[in-house]
Amino acid sequence: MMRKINVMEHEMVPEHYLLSEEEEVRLLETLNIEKDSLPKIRRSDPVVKILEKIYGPIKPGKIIKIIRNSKTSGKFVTYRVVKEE
Amino acid sequence: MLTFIWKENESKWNEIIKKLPVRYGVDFNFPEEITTPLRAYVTLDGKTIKHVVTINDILPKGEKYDFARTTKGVHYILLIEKVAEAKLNLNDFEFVGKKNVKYIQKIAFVNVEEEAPKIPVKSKIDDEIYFKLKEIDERNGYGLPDNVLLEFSKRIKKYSIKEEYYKKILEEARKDFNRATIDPYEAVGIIAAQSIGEPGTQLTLRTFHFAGVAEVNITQGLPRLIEIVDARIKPSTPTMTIYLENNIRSDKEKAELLIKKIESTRIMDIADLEISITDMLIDIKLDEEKMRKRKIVKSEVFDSIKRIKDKNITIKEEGNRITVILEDPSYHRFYVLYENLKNMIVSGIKGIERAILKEENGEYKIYTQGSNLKSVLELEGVDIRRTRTNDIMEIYEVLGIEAARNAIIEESYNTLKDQGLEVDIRHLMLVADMMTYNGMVEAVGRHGIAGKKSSVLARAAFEITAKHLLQAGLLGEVDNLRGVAENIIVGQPITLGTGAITLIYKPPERKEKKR
Repeated sequence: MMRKINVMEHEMVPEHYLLSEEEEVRLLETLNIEKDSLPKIRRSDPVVKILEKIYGPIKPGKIIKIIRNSKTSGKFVTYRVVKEE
Repeated sequence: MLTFIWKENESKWNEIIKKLPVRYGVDFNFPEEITTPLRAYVTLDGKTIKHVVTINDILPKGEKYDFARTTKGVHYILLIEKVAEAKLNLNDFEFVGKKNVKYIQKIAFVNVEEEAPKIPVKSKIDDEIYFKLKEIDERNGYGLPDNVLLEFSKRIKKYSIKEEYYKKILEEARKDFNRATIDPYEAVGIIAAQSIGEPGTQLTLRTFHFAGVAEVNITQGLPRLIEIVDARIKPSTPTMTIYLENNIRSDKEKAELLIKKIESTRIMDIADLEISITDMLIDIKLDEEKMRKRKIVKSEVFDSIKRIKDKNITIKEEGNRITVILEDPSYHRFYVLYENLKNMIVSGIKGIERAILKEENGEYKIYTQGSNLKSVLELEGVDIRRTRTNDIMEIYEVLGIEAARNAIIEESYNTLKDQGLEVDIRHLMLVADMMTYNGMVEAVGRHGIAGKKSSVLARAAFEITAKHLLQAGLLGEVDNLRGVAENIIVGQPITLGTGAITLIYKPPERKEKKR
């Protein structure tokens, strides 16, 4: 009766991707900010858990790229940094 | 880089190669301060080395991967991503003090890697003109949002505008866009607060209202808005809208079967309970009429009662009566047993009190009173994509922080809209962004965002002045005077608008007058 679900399929969950180290450096350079200024996402967030199944363990401090479907601007790219609980 | 030699038998090694990338449990203890990546030379026969493995991650036993606990002797789990060919002889290695070279012999295989899930792509745009516009936009660094470009693409098609004008159009659009964007250091929070607050005065103050679906109560108006913004753990009237999968969407019978699985039935819903304290027994008289209505058979009830694990309990079955006897002289335990029996769930999902089937736009939907998103999504036949709940904390736990942000925006927008109030969605997006900034859903107000301000004076100015000042005095807090409230208190220009930037006027150099 129970089935395994991929919560990323839900329409309320936007696309999440893990940034590689090079992309992280480039991003922080273009935005001209420190990692701490980015919004956070918990390591135990259900979406991060799914990403871990794809990319392997995700350590705190990694940046996750989120492509939101915004009502005002269409596709909108934003970032969250993984934090320990 | 720590390097070691790893002896492995052939069949296991072949399995590892087949399943790459793979997690693999070993019974060997690594030095405590270990850094990845590691290198391992693999030998199958103990003489020659044919493979070099790079190990990218090591997890101690038991952490995160459940299967590690079940296998005896596993100490660490290695993440193996790459295997390279090598041609070496084991004798070529110098075992220098056995410090950097280690030899592992016993290895346990624990790999149960499931198929990795995929990231569903949600925003697909298939529009040739859009791509051309996007290309021009990126080349010139205009940074116009996608919706603007899509809108242009629509108009361009409508009026069949030539390609040579695209750049000119975007250039003009960029100018207008610049004018429309908010200035740096503008107090957007205050504007949002006023924009939500003013129409908020017209919201209904009454808590309950019959709305939307017949017979399902939903909190509306101001109480609901407060509930969202306060990030309550449970909304006062949790409700779900369950959509069905394609194949059963128009099948009433199957939808009704699903309702039975969703709607929770407690024993007290289908039976009368009588207790006799002198004999320490509970009599459950099943009501056939009620059972038929909820499509429950007697054996289901009996099975669920049998699930109570208590040696002192005997269960007797007689016609429509089930008798539970407690052979323990404790009245307290008897009372607990009675309460447990009364609320025992015979079928359905915990937390969902009622479920109603409704037909809308040619498909069946289920509306519920009570919410349990996780269990409902796990049910076969439920559409994972569209099923909703109004419980934001539940969305946060099951679907994550980004979904919670979307839920806050949607719920608050709809609450205002249902009352006929149109608030620009950007204000609500700002509130949702702040509430989810820390990766958790936090309340607006002294327990959430406002309570976490770094400035003592700003916190003291907001609520419970004495407490904050006393605490700050005790701990010796420092106020850096970066915010607005604290600068007003000390009488400095505030850090907003022109006050936030330091301007230095450099006068044009004057030419010395010739005399």
